Amino acid sequence: MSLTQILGRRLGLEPYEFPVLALMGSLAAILICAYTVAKVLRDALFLSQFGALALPYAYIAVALASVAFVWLEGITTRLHPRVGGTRFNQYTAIGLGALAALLLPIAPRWTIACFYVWTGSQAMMLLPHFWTLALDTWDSRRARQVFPVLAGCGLVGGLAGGALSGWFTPRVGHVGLMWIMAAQLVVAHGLTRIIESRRTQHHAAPATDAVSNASRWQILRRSRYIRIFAGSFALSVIVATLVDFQFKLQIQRAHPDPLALTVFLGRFYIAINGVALLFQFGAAGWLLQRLGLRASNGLQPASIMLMSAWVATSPGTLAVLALRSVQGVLSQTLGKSSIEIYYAAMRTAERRLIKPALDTLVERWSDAAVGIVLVVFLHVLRVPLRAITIGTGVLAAVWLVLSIRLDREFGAAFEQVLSSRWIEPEAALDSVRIPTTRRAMFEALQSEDESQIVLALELAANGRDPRVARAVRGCLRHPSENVRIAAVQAMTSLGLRDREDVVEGCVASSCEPLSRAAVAYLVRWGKRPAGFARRLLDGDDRRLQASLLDALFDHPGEAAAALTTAWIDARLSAGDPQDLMLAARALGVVRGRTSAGRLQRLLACDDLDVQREALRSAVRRPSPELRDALLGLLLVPELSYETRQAVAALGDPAVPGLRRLLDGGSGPRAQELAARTLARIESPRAIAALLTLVRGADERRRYLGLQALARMREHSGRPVLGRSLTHRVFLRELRDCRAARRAALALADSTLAAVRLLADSYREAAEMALERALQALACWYDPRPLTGVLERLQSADRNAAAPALEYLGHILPRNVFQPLRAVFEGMEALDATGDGAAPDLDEQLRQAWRSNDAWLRACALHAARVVGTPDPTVFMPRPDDTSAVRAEFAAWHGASPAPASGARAVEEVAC
Amino acid sequence: MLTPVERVQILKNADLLKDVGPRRLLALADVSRELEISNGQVLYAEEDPADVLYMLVAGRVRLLAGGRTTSEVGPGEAFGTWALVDSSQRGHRAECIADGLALALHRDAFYDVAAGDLTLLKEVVRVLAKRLRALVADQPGEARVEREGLDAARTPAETPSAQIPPAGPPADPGAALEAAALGEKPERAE
Repeated sequence: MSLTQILGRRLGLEPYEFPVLALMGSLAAILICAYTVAKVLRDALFLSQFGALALPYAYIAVALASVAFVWLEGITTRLHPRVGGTRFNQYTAIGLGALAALLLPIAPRWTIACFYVWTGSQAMMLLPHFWTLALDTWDSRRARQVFPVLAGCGLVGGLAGGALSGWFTPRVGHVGLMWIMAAQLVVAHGLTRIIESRRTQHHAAPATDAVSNASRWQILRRSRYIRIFAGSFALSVIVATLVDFQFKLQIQRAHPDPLALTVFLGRFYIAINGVALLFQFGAAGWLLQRLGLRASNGLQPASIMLMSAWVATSPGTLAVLALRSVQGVLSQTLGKSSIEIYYAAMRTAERRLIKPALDTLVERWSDAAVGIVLVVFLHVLRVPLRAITIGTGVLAAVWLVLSIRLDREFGAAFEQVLSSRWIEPEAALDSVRIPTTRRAMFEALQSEDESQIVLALELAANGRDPRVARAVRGCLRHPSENVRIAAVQAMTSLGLRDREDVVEGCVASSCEPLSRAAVAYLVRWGKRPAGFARRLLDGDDRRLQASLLDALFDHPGEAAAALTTAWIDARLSAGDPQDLMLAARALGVVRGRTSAGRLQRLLACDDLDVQREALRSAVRRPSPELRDALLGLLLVPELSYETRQAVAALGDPAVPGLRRLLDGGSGPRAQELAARTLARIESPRAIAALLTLVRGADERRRYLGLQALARMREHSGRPVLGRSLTHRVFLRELRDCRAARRAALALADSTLAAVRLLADSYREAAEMALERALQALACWYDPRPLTGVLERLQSADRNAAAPALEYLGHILPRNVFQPLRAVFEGMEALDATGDGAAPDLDEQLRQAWRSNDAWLRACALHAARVVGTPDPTVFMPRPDDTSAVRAEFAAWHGASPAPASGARAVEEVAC
Repeated sequence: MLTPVERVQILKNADLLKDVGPRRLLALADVSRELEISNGQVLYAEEDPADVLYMLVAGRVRLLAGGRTTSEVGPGEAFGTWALVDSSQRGHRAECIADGLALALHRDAFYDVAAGDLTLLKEVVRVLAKRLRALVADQPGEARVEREGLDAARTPAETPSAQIPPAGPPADPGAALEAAALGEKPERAE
């Protein structure tokens, strides 16, 4: 395997991405090199010209300039969209860099002040634009591998920048260094153009992603995640600025000569970047992968907290130097990479808009805030420097807390994306309660369009509004029957009084739906519901009696008292199917144990409609006496749904019977129905019964068990298995998934169609195992995002799979997540081919043949027949093999009309 | 007689079903039937309702529209794919020109299986949506005019067996979709 292939696997890159990575790395190096040169020049010139105590004023000036530049960038990109934020910044930086080099000898004091402001504001904006480009190129998962490399390239650039400043200043002077910086910016611009053109060849961003209509402020205001991110980022900058201030105060005292100060700063930046580089390539990527984002991001504030304590207790150059070095190394390595990865949770269009502004403004305004605080504390209140050190430690602690919160929100952001296909009915109903919707509903009720009115009436049932209520009542006299039906139903749902008795008039209507709706209304909201019910029951209109019983079934209320056992028995003795249906329905309404025997009689009736009604009543009046009768009906296809509900209503008493069906003696359909019914029972005994399926060796039974448990979790809204058991089951299914993927990979490139079919079957087995694994997770974790996770992991698109892995990486413990990551982030492909030796096809076929998967066995047999295996005696069918295996075996051994020649013909066709 | 595995292998060649997992195809393989075809046999005429998908195992079939040959189908290729989703007239004629064997999948049998397998149905809809998108993308103007647009999107097969160039536009919309079903690239008619 070549170095490029190994790198590709390790970094998760496609072959075409290597040139882009090389270009991006070069761009990062040049930009950071130029920025380091600018920083050294800025600090050296400013400190020698104005002194460290003038820094707070400079921070404020930089913050104001940042606002101006961000505003200017916004205006320019809006007026000239083709130029874009990146190009605008690069052009401006090149121009201003060259201008500073020209003006420094002429007006040094003003140029130094302006140069400081420029490097802190506009020049700094070049870096966020670079990271935006990187985030557009790689998803958050690959960013974990690629960004440390880019940050490492940046550090190389930082080292080069330090070297340039340290050793070239005595030779070319400050002006010469400025010209070098301007030239580097020109090269950076050229590289950016090349990268953009290469990226668009492979990564055309969807048009919908290109722009966001919201302003930066609106984006910030509506997203809690971005707000917390900004807060955490601001604290990181504030802490870093305070550390930097303490450091500069110390070194200014140590090096009063400007040239010596420049040389010291240059060497310091070389040293710090060198250490950071070693850390970056040695540990940063590994830490990000092993510890995760939260720990990696928290390392910086935690270490600053501890070191601030050290500085506060034993102040001195060494302690401050150590504090600044640790902060510098961690912020350039883990800090930088993790901050950029946190940006990945934002929508692309919003990120493009907000990142440069957020990076620049938060950083500069945080600097300004520090500046103001320092001015007040040092110049006005004259607090000692130790107080600043203690304050730094306290702020680092707050930053640590906020970064933990940010990480939680990061997971939630992915959860939201993955759950977006999950529709909560409550959300739809809530929208009807919005004033604008109510107004639209009222207008629709006044319209002349019948379908519009009916729809508005259906929606009106979900929200209360006096104007809408009046309009609903008005619809009772509408000429259209459909409108009147919908109006009566809306009145029933809203509980509106019918003061003019219009609804009562609808009972006698020849339109059955209208009459049914009217009966339902009067049973629930009529003036004398019991009397009304008695009148209908004593009458001889069966249609109205059926409507009444339906209404009583849904809302028994006081009207249910009108229904007597004598009335039901009269219907039962009549024996007519219509009468039996009425009796069955009535049994669901009456209370007491008298109904069980009667229901048992009706369940044994030959008429499916009567049985269905009896089952509905059995759901309402569950009785253990009905258990055997109900279990007997479970396998009747026409009654399956109602029977499942009736059996589930029995609860635990039904579990032993269902358990017997799970054993498989009554066939696979009975197993499936029993598992589904147990899912509805939701009791510990039902869970225990399903766990016997989950723990078994048969994959189909495991699927049934896990599917039922996941459904149970979804219905009940609470975990149905313990967390550790969930993880164990998940890992077991994942092992199957991994094994099947490996086998599929090993066979996929075969020239034989029969072998490729086996590879496809393995791939399908891997997908099924993955589905089982995620169903296992759904037994404890929230099932909503897991639906999205499955879809994304099953897609071949790595970018689509990235949020799914990001989410799972967030919720799962590390030891559970690592095997999953190994399966989906390319590591198993490396394992599958091992040292590059070709897999032994005969052994692969034997492995498939040894599996418990009937279809894999059939495919293995077929492939062995086509390939002509050296030892056909290995492939002897078992007594429990499926018809597919038996047919294949018969064809191979000449018992079928199409022996080996048929397989060859099909092979040719398939090839 | 073909074994279930061989039938699955044949069905997997149909563009519409190529991304469906083999286990799911096994259910379709069970309900598909083998059909021996002989030279000169007309499998369906232009006015026949589309109700069966054919997969050719051996032999050769010519597809004609308005008396002109639009393409030829050889072993391993499917024709009449659109029958699985559209019951209107075929719009073209299929005639056997070399003895062989075909696998026929009836629409009703397909839906019986698909009714119990949502994933299969989802996969088929996904492929159909992809094809329609390709048609619309290639011929936006025509695609807006429902039938005419589809008429124009008919081309010769790019498969090795389809060597006969198209001879004028056919009269039916199914032909364009049929062409797409055969994996042909639609192009604008002259």
